[in-house]
Amino acid sequence: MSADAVVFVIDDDASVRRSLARLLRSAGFEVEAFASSEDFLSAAHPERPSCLVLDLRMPGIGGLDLQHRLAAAGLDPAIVFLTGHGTVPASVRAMKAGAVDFIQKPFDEPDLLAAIGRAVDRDRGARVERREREQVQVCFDVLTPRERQVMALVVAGLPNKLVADRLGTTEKTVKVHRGRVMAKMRAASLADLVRMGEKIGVRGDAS
Amino acid sequence: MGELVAAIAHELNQPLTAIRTNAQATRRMLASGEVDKAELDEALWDISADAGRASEIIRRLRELLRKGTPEKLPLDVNELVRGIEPLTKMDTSTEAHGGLLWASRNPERGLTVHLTLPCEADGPR
Repeated sequence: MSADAVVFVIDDDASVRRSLARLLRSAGFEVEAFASSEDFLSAAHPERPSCLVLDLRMPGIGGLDLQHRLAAAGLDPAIVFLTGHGTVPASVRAMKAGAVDFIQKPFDEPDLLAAIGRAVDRDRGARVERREREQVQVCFDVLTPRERQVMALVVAGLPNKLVADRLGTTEKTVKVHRGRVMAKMRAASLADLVRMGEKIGVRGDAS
Repeated sequence: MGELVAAIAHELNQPLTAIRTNAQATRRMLASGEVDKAELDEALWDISADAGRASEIIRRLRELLRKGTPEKLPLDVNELVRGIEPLTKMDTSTEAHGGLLWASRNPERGLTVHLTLPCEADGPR
């Protein structure tokens, strides 16, 4: 199913944890199981598509707490929460904080696997997005201040003539800067450059 | 009462969840064609153990509901008398009744025994 993905199962109940790990392995996922949030936090996690299958109620750091801690650490893992009955308010809070899904125990296999599939896909997408953003940022970092000004105005849709007017220089000079920007950013086209600008939040004021 | 029911429901839900998940995993293993017998055996063993866990919860629940009517358990009077001998500071004959008798006791609440022992006129030695 998702050969490269790893699912982190965190549940304090040994039986539930073992059964979950077994089911997910039989469905083709690689699984790492933890008895507590603390154990999960102290383990090393490889940079690869993943999702968390997290019990809502656990002694120590509970599911919601872990979600908040990871968010505070700048991580945005895809989480599928496991819950018993009567935990609607907690479910609402978790969903608002970005949980992918809520599965009630005892879970229905298709529901659980579908939720995990969605979570892994979301995480994979987020990782691709993050990697692309980092690559664009690396290119952007080598631009000179002047080239950055030119890029901001070009991606805002201004023609060279107006860019030159804004910056108080000649159209010819702008063309030279623009060529360097395209080369350094490894942009294949103006549309490509605009897309890159959006990724890292470079936008000029066109008005 | 509501809290108790919720707690029991949660306790029962855990082994039931594990049983169901293991059964689903077992079916997947069988369907995949490449059956690891050891892994299959382990899953079935877990299912059996969790069914036992659920039964145990139900047994304890029944016991709890029966709390008002303590069950009768065999009680060795001689053992009992020997047990309180140090407290009474008296020599006791432990062969008085010679055998077991059935007494009402609730294992959850421990055992309270009232014994009247014959004393000599000049009191405890």
